[in-house]
Amino acid sequence: MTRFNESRRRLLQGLGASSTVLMVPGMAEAAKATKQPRGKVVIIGAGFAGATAAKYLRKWSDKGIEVTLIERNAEFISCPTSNEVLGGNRDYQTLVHSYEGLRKNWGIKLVRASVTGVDVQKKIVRTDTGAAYSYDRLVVAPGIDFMFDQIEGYDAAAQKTVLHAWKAGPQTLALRQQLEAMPDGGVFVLSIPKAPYRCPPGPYERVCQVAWYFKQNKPKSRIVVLDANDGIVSKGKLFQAAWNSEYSGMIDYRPSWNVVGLDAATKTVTSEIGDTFKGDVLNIIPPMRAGEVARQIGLVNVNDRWAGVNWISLESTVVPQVHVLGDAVFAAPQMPKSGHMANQHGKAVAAALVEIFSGREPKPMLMANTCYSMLDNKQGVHVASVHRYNPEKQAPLIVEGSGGVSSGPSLEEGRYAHGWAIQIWADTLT
Amino acid sequence: MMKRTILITASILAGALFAFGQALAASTSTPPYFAANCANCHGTDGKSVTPIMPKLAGQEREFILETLRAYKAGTRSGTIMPQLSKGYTDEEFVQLADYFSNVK
Repeated sequence: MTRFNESRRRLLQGLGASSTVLMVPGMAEAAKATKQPRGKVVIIGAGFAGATAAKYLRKWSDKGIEVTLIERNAEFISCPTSNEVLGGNRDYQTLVHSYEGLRKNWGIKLVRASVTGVDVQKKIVRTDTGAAYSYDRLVVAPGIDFMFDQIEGYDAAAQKTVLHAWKAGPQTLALRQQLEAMPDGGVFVLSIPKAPYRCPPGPYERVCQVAWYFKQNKPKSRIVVLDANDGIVSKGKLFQAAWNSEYSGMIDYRPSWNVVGLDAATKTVTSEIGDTFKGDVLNIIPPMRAGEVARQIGLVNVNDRWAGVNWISLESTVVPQVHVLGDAVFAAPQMPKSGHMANQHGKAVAAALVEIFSGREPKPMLMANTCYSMLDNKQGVHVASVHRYNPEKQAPLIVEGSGGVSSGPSLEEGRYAHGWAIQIWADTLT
Repeated sequence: MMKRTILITASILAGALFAFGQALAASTSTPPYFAANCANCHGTDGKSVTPIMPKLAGQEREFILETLRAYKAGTRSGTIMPQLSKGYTDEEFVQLADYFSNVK
């Protein structure tokens, strides 16, 4: 048996055999015992981008590529649909998902730790547990970090009471509690940073969800939206229509209102031209940039905020053999920082690495985006687009004539919004 | 002589194995990568995990093709699919139909 395996391995090695060949039925079990991984990939960050990359690397290599997935959080907590928790339309627990499926179904090595350093010469990732992980290719998917220093007064103490709730988790529940504690007739102030930021329609959906909650429970309350952008960034007409009809008189929308200062004690914000606004509950979403670990590795090379990538392989334009995904990336034109797009980045890098480890040139991946927003407890709207690589621009661009937004809100799309979440959680995590 | 026979046998066997491996890879493990775009809403490999979205896995090839073409042509109404379908070529529709109709 030993000799048989040995000779077969030599035979297959002689062919330059990939594990695809090794996985011929009947040989699979024997092959598993002897085969060497085709390549080793370490992934930092198990959000929509990193977790999807991990799964599809294993799936498309027939488990021939070894994948180690490093994540500091114990569980996956979904940002998409978390606004519904604020509106009282969703149970928080439905946002929380286990990573166990990735280990059990796909043999991904899950590591719960924070990355403390990466040696890109020796190709080693070190973590706060003292462990070290070597790689052939590194995938960095850290999401975003907040630039609190862009808003004067948004220091560590202020952050305890003035929430962003722009990463789902404890802040989601805490903001919901603040809304519940606010008296009827109170003012909820939401500030939106200049684009690009994570989830372009998200702030406006949040306005709808909070408005829906107020309408049912605190009808004298008002919402003030201070938007650093010139107008609603995504699905503008759809949100505006809902605010004018379903939430008529409840929403005071102020474009080009850039929050640069904050006094947490008096719950007052200041704009760059010195205007002030006071609220009962402040929800300040600060400007964002690529997650800190991307900066530490030296991947951030665009506007001191984002990581530039080659759009075929998603390889960093700074550090070879390191790939960057998801919200941390300097996005291609009109490419949103969305969970759906992050999932697509994960697939694009998985396809590219399977090709590279098989000795082939990676090809550009088609990517699509779909993003639903809930206008109340049951009506949804969407925005969608398909992005195809343009060799001249060396970037994926929206296919002319593709994509668009809903013609209007509907119960049908409310159902799809909920279905989308169920599907993408499963596609990413199981 | 013995050695050469072994070598020839080995190379024939290897060739067959390789071809089989490739065929297998083409049919099950490595779909056209972009087919995974559909998975976000229709489930991994088109195996939907909620009744809200239709499953694509194992649907009749011609039905998938007809549906995608009709969405793109505007003769079938819908919410998001008429818009997304316009991002794909007719050749890609064929690849998608071939792939999803063969998923068990």
